[in-house]
Amino acid sequence: MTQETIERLTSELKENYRGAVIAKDGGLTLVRLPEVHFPPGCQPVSTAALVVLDPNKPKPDFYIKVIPSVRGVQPQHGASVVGGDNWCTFSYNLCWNEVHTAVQFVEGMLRRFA
Amino acid sequence: MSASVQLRIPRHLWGPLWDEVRRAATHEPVVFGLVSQGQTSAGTLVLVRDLIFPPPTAFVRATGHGAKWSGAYNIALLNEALEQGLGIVIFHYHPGTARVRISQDDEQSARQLLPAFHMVAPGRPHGTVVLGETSAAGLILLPGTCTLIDNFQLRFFSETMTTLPRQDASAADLVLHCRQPLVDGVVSRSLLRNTSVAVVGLSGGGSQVAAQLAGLGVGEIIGVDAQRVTRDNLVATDEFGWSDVLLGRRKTAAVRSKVRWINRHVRFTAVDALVPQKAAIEALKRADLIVGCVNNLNARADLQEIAWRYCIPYVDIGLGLYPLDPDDELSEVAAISGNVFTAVPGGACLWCTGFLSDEKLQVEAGGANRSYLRTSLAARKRRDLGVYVASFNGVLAGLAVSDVLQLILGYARALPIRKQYDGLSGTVLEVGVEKNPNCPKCSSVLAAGDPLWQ
Repeated sequence: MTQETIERLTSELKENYRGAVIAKDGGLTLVRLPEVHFPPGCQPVSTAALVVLDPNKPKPDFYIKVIPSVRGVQPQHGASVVGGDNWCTFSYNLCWNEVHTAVQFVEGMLRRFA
Repeated sequence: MSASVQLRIPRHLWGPLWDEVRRAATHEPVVFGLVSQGQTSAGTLVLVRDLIFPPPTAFVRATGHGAKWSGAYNIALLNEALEQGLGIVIFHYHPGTARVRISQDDEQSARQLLPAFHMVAPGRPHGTVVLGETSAAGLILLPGTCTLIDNFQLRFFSETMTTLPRQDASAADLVLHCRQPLVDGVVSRSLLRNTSVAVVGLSGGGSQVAAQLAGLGVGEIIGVDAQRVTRDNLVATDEFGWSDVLLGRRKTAAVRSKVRWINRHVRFTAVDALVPQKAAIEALKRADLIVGCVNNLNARADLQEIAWRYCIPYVDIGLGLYPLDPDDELSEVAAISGNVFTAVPGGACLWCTGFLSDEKLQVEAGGANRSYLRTSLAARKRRDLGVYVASFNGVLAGLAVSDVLQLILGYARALPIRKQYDGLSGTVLEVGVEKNPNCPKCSSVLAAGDPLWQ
């Protein structure tokens, strides 16, 4: 991702997610979203999310605080330390590139739980 | 960690800083540290991430005894700190062996400068520190406060881990410790008692590490493991018994009993969690040293990240039995290979040496992220048989605890080596390691502290 794309995505996330905060962590830009909503049928209905923008990667990384159970079943997931905190990761091959928006990325990733 | 504020300086910065502040110059040499911050349950860590050596042109003529630099240089310095999202700590040196104190001039200038730094970069700590031969003093202003703190510890990493102020002791005790640090004297005992060591993974290696640390009398052992004792653990360590298996005891509970049996003065804190669960991360952040005895690379990557982020030495051990034919369950053993690597903040890390790489982590996880790691590790565990390796694990545990002892007491010259254990021949090979100047983890994570959210 280019630096311009990172800046654009950062400002889109700040505009569209209330309370979004940004941190520079080494070469990475971290954007923490206090609340993102899962599709209907998930429990819990929302959680915090983290978008990691790395200039050396073609698309952002996406983490959430809690993996929801979808109609009673919790999908396969893992856990990682990012920015000194623990975050959950899951596998989902979202077709996204730099022409798309940050909102498309976040909401697209959350469709994993639809 | 006994003090509520501790300033930590990684190894690669301590040497240049110490040389520069003691350099003979026309004005008092000054070095600026760019610092981050980490919050732990034990207090606040102020972490030196980078150093700035001001050029001679930055200085102006001073009326007092100290150094004075221009307003223009101050602005450039602040811009640099702001750009990196870091605070500023000013270092200088007072000669002599007596305990150093901050001078009136230093205090006066700190009371002017630090609030000004705080106005511009309020989210990070700022401070001024005078270094002495065996002591340090100064003032630190933490974010969200307006009170200058003069009661803090300074920890720097060189061949050992040194924390100032040193403990009060008689001259005779200090000489004894200096010459014979392994003798059970007042100073050595106090250094061990004031140290908290986290042991992650309490199976074959970790349980033996904890027992040896208890014997040495470290102040606290933080045992991190979420599993219960099973039958196959009995052949991997001598620290568990048949009753632990029968009762299905948690490993933390079994090790706690053992530690208490060995040394009732050692505090054992049980953390029944897996890395990177929140409880485990919080416990590790407040440790003085971490010993990782885990069975996978992804967990090692997490431990290395936490250790580097908060400037904590990390001792890693691991043992593997390698069959001639991995697909044949009845294959003969080709190698019994162990590894002990001690990573001192600012020295080589597991990424520098290629022990960890993104490719290796992905292969182990079975994909680009860790979604399937648990499944792949569970499958591996199903294939693993209980193997008689208590003695091999014991060798590695002994080497790891010796490295911990070296860091705390400084009884020998620490060499930049990784110890490779060959279980078949019973030998330990020393493999030289070097810090990689282009290591992506060292540059991005070392002393990064908590992210500054804005």
